[in-house]
Amino acid sequence: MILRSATVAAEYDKALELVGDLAATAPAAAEELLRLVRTFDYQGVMDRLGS
Amino acid sequence: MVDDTPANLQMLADILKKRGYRARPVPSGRLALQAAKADPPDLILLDINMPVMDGYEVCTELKKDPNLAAIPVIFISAYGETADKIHAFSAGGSTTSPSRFMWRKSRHGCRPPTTSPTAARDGKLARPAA
Repeated sequence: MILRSATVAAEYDKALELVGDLAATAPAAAEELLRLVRTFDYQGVMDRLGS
Repeated sequence: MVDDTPANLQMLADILKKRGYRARPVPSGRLALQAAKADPPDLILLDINMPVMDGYEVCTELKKDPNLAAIPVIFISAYGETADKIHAFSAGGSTTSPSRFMWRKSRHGCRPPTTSPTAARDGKLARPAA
């Protein structure tokens, strides 16, 4: 499951897991996405991911 | 579960996950509808008092969608809000949890209760289950 699908479906734990995976390759982006997911700001995550 | 207060979402998610449920916390009615359409849940815990789209509106939209209409909805509300307690008790089959949440199962769609606050004050409400 990709991060977009996880956020659209509000799969909180899966979204955290996917963002955690991202931390190894893009730590700054992962940190920002982690903050958004932890506050349940799925719209913010989708906005960051773009269309 | 749908609640505009992140702390409530986190607490409910923790409670449910400890009991083996897969929790999908959502902070708004609009995102809840989107999430439900993407992957219909088995049950929805729905806060009543939310900005932009309140719980009754969300439930009404859910019931309009044939793919989502059968999903049971439990309304939740902060314990201290008298108006919500009146709504919940007036619907019958209501109960209060020992926590700060009160739950009402919506078995017959999303119609608001017909008992008025005046009737509630006069003791004409259904009593919560023991």
